[in-house]
Amino acid sequence: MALTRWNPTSDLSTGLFDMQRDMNRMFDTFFRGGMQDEGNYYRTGWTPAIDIAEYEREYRVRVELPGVSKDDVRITMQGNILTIRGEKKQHEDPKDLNLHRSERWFGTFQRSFTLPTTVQSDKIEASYENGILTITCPKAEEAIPKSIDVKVK
Amino acid sequence: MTRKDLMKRPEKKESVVQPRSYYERRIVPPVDIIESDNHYTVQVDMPGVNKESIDLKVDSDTLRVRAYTGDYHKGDAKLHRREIIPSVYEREFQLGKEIDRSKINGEYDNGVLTITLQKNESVKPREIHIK
Repeated sequence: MALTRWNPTSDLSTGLFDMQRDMNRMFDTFFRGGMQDEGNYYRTGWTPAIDIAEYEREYRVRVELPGVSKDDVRITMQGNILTIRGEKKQHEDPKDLNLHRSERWFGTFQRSFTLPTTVQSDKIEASYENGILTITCPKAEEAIPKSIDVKVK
Repeated sequence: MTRKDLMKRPEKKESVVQPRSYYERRIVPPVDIIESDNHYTVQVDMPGVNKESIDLKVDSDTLRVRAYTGDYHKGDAKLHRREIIPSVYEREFQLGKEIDRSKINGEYDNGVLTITLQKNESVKPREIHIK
């Protein structure tokens, strides 16, 4: 390593420039929502909360989807993978609204997960109430635990 | 009034919803507030509550919303994933003078509570006809 003469002012100035660059980046990502930036920070969108409960004969999946229209949700089952995708639509163009506060999220979402056992995909039912989508997936016959009485002679 | 009385915490106001166990959480639900010519519309995302359990109260200058989701998992369900936690939604709004306290309406549909706050006649925009 070569010995170099230490210049306190240059050190300070590069430090300041670094800091300025960092600050600019921070403001940019904050005000532009981070979409255009380097990709180290971007919004992944909305992920609705999900519960998966297993009962003896079925799985019941609950998804929190407040304000989503029933027609805008699609549920697909492929093998053991259940996929829920859809869109939460805003009623009107936000540009036309005099919005004082806008905290609710709108846009598309998608979630997939693998169910532990095979289900009867033709008997899956879904209902939507109070902003909660409930999907009932009956287990395939071979996945239902059976108790067999064994006679002892 | 004795000194002991003064030291007492104010009694909790009676409420329909109180957290029932330690794992229930409190949520400040997200809201949109939209102003129109005649009214304000407040939309609150609060999925999973029954209409009957929503507690909407106006107390002079504050409008308070509270609701409890209840716990859906009873019995012997095995939970593979649990992200929907029993919660109490709670949010307060300050009401300005322009809001008519007697005309506040709430409607719960598809997990969204929509509160309509009518403006007082005096602040509504008025068109003046020129004779």
